[in-house]
Amino acid sequence: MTLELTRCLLASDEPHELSDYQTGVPRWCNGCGDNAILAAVQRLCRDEGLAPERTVFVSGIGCSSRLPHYMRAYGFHGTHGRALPIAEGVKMARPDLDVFVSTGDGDCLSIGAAHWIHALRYNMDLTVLLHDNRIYGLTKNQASPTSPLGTKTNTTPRGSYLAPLDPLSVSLGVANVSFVAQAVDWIPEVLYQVIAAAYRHKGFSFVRIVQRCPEFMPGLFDPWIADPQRTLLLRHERGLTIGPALANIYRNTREHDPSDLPAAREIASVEDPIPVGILYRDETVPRYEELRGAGSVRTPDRIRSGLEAELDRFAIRYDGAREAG
Amino acid sequence: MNEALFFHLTGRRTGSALAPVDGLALRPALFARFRDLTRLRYDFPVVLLGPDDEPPLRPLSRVVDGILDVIGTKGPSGERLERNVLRLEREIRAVLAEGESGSLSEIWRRAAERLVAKGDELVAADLARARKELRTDGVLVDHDAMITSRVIGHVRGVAHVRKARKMRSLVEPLVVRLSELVRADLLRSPAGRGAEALRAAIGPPHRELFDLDAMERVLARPSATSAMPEARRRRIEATLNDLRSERLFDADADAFTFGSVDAALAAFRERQRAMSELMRAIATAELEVRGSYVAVRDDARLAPSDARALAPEDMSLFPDHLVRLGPSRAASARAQILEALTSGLPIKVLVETDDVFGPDAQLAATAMGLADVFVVQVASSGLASAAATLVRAFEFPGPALISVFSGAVRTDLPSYLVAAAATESRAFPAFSYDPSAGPDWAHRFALADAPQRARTWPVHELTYADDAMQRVRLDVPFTLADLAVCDPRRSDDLAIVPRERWDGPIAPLIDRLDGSGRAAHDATPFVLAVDADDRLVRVLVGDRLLDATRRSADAWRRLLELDDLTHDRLAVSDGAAPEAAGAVAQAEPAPAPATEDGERSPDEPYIETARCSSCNECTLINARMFTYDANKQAYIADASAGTYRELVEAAESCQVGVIHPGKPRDPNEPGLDELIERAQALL
Repeated sequence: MTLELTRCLLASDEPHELSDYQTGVPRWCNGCGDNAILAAVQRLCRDEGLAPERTVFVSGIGCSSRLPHYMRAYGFHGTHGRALPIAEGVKMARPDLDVFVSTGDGDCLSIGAAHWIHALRYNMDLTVLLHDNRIYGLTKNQASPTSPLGTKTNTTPRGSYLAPLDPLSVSLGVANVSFVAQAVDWIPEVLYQVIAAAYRHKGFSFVRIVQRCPEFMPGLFDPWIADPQRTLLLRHERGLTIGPALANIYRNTREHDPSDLPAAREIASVEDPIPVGILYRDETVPRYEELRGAGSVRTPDRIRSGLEAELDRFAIRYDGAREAG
Repeated sequence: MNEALFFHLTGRRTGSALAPVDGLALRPALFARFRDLTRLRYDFPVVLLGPDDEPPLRPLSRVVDGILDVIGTKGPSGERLERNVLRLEREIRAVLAEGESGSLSEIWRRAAERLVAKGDELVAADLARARKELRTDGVLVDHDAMITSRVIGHVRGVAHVRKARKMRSLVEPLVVRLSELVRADLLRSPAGRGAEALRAAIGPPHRELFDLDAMERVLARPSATSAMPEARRRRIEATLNDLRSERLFDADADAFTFGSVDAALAAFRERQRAMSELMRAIATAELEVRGSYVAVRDDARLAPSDARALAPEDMSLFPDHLVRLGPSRAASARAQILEALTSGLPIKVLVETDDVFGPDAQLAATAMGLADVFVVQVASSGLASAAATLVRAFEFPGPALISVFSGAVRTDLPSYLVAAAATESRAFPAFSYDPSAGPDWAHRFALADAPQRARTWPVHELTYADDAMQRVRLDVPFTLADLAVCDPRRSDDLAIVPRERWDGPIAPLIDRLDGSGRAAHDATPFVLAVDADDRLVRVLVGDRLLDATRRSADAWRRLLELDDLTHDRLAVSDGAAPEAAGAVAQAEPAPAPATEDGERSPDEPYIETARCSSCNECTLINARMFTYDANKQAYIADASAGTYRELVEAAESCQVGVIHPGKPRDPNEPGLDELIERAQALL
């Protein structure tokens, strides 16, 4: 009678609409690629029927990191570069929640780079969306770690001096990497599919989304948008499925088995055409929250005894008898 | 009529030609090899492991193999080590046979000491090395008359502990979450903000440093969040109380073991109310924790007064009620057993029989016909390999029947040997029926690995020396009639033919059974046995026993057929899947041109909606003309809601170039020529 029926009642929540996940009017510029990512994420929440009260969006600082404000779910707008440690903490305490991270090329690859590398190693079950527009937009036009060589910005008026960092190649070189994919904001169908695969992957799923910034990098990707041949779609039975409409436009495809790490590294190193799809996936990598038994019940007694044990290492216990004397 | 035939037909011995088998300690001829079981490597003794091990018991030989696998037995020193460790295993069997008992580590130590005392330093070093790899421990039990109750008792004890843990892991988080709700409510209430509550929250040394009365006044301002409704608070507190007072698992497994079905049913009904209350509390708590408790809907459903039936899924959370019926108890309790098995309650019935010829031996095959009963039949010799199935029988939410043949028929024969012989002779095959394993017999029924399963009887080679001391080799089947030689209760159906009459009208039993016509129709069947001095004896088989043997062959073939059918079915369904997948892959059409292109008039404006990147450019130009669909991708909702200029500007500003303005609708719109020219690039 009871448990089954209760589970049915709990499971049979009303189906959600996309608007159930929307809140506020995005303060991003017109034409910004962040909108496409937001739409794809909202679509995913609706299609997977994610309960807003069991879903968390964590971010750092930047245009990308405004995303939690526009999701009707739990959100944590963190400090610069620290989106991942916060998300890891949330997952550790509440492994039953779905945790998404929105971060940008500055937040993740510059100030947060150390956290990024180690988050890959921890392989906790997070869905990480790297909004990579190759520029600092929120602070109005400074070079980021992925700005193309020679990009003229406020901080590099004579053009940037350093070759850009490749987030895919770096990720694929870190121990315990378990999911790496790339999408572009201007192919929404693929963006959605890649984010959905990342969400379903059990482990740290890292999705780099190549994103337009019409304000400070206008026209940067126009040649790629105009010429579908300059997008390389990775297809595989365990990767993307390319529908007929999409295949009609994007004819440049390649069969790629996501379990093939050397091939993934080779693909990641190509800049043109832009590879899009799932580069690498390995479900067998151990997850940190499981290794450490996250989410165990913390009864008040356990918390108290744990604290006492920890404090006893540093302090002399306060003694009631002494108070009396 | 000759005496042999007369005996065969009537079961009576006349004259002096035939001798009775009583008191001769006869054994089936094929048993001659197995005088000393301690020299054999077989499934027993077993180590009873803890609730974290799967399965919770393991044969000693498997433990030893595991150790050898880890150490490796390559090279001369490896081979020596293997030899020494296997000697130790034999020694452990010998120690147990002397009546010692204890844990594996204890018996291991004693056996090792004995070997080391006899051997050299290398033996000591090898055994010490092996001891380091021994990582499991538990009570070591050998096969004896008590083995069934010990093994089943252990498995159900493990199942009990696992269920208790599961219940705890279900209840504890709910208690913590509900307490948090109560606590949060208290903190928001005036009492929670009072000076007393604040004082209690601060450690004694620093209490005096704070003016808590002033703090109370500061905090007393009305809070923005309203307090919990009284009804809800009371409900949560009552639920918490129910959850905290859960005591079902305090008693150990013995409190749930009964000698009769009636006692078990009575005990279950007595506990039913407590179980029902607990389920109600858990259901209420789950809803409260999620904030989904709706009084109108749930109050009536979860009313405490209602003594409703528990669903099977719920009952699987509670302790099993085990009924143990020893030899010959089951026959009189047959009606109650069926009552228990059809009750749908988690009552597990263990029937132990020592007579494969009696009615108890058929109980399992009968029970398979009842709906939703987990059935296991196994001879006690197979208990170790059936461990995983037994665990599942206890995990199964409904009733289960476990039918075990003990093999304890004669004190001078090891019970293991007789039990194994019962499986071998097809008299008591090992099988299981698990209603939770799938929707059909193919998934539910499993016939355990049987020796030489393709044959009606397994055939073994028998070698002996004849009167002239010549070696004779015979292929001998092992049948129910051979098994009967072990059983004193069957002595009426057996009679010994003296040696001088071996050339009379008698024939091996198998020649009569297989209908090959090798035996004359009136030849009396016999089986081979050995006496206490290992002399070969021919034992005549009575008609009644011959019939029973035929029937057991028939029953075996039925099981075999069932198993083969189900295997075929599984093979078919497994085999079909890849084929179907292949067909689908082939049938996938080549990318077809998007159909909409063909139908659309080039004059109409349109958006390639699937490619829209939701960037708001167009919707900001005219939100009535451009609207988002359910996926937040834009389409032209109403082309007449704006000007052609807006269409062209939206198309030009579209980041991904998916808006196509078509031809102007209003020929009088100003500046049309210029717009049409700009639109050329966007068609």
